[in-house]
Amino acid sequence: MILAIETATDVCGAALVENQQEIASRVLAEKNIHSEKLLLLIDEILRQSSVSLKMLKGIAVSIGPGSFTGLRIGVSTAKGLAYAVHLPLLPVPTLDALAEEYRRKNISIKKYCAMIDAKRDEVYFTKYSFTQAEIHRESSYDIQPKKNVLHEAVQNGFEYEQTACHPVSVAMLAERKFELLKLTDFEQLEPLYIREFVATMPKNR
Amino acid sequence: MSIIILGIETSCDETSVAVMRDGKLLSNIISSQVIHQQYGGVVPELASRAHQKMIIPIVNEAVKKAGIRQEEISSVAAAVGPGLMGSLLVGVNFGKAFAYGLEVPFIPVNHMEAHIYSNFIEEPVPQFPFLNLTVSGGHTQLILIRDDFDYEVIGETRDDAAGEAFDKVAKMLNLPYPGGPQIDLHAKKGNPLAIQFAKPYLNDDDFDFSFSGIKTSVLYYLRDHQLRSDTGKTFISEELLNDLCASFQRVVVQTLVSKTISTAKKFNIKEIAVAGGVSANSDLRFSMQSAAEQDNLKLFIPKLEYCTDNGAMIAEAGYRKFQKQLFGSLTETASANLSL
Repeated sequence: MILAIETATDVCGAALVENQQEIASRVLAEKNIHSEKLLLLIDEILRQSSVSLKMLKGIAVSIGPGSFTGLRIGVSTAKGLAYAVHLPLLPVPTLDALAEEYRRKNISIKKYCAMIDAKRDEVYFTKYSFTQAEIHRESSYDIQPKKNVLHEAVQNGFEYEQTACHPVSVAMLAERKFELLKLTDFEQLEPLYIREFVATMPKNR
Repeated sequence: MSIIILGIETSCDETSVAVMRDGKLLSNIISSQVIHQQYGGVVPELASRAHQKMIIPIVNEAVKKAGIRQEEISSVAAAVGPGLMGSLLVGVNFGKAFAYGLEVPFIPVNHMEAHIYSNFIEEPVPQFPFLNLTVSGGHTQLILIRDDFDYEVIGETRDDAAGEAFDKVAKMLNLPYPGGPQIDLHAKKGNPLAIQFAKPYLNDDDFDFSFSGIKTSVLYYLRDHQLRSDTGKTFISEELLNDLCASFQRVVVQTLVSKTISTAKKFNIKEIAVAGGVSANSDLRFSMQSAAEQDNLKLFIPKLEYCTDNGAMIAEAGYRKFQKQLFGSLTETASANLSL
């Protein structure tokens, strides 16, 4: 069984998945509650399913791109849990999880461009093609002006309807790609920021 | 069974973790982020990212050095504020989750409260009641401590914190960041009576401080003597730089010392303690000691490694909270402006 954490956007959630079946999930879609509520949601789904952390195969976490603050909370929490119980950590790129979310709900779609708002009229995005049981990444994780991304998606026949992140998709993907994603040495793991932070030099007054 | 506390501190730009067994410190690992030096101050986003990267390695090192197994930990304590939000979030969320995974209670610790407990890490410790002066980059507070977690802030700065004045003056003088230790270093070679800066706000009727005036005095001095261009270039000889640092430092230190001593007398308190980053200042340590001796007051100042932010003080405060069963809930979070 996999426990997954999703905090990359306004969605704060946790899910338990086993054999590609949802066991439990809890999601809150609200700004600025992640730090307060995440561990509570995790505790709720574990109790509700009578599962202890030690019974898990690994802990998956949506690692971005997304809100820097949200990612800080999700990644710190995932690290704390995995480190305490000696479980592998499964960092799942948030755009992959979005594509998985869309694939699960739209079986007829074959090409999808996943997007996450990056503010300043830009989006984080990646293009995917879907087969019946899997998503295939067709481009790198990138950031571009939203209108350019939309224009290109339309031109090349990619569906681009935006969907909300969900921890169940994070867990599903982590379970399917377990061997590829699993990290036993995650000590220095950082979120996938994509947009590098550029600090400006202070003006000399 | 012994009580083992893991203390986590990530309020600003130090990732620090300590392990304490039954009140005895076993390890205190401090990783200071050097990345901020090039920017002349702490860049919050970079600080948060560095904490994220370092939190487990530092926890690991602290546990190893303490010679314990992590399964022996009785409780995880972490600073929940005040401080930089992004930095705090890493320590709080890691700490909460780590405690949850170990199935032990999480203890939220107020960072300013922890500074007070930096004088309790090693013997001898102050006896209640005592007067505590906390001086750091963000705070200048006189606190009356009646008992564990029973205290009252009786005076604080009305504008800049003492440490902030040090940092700002250092910046004016184009000294590298962090500025406090730099000023201390230059002051040792200078004449503290060379330049007469206006004494900051000193009203005997209250217990407050003010340090923005002295900072402005230094700026005016540089301007009036054409020692600094509009673009911030400075034209100061090494000798004058030393004198400026010494004279500025003297005024700040004298203010801190005289206010603390007079407040202790007013409240008829026999023991005083100093804590926070500025308590590492050599002149403050020396002058406070002489003044305390003169008035028969017992003074406590932490060892240098407990002056600046450290996990040991979080573990100490956590240990005391553990004994009183002051545990946090799963919904504990960080608060940038948490007050005492």
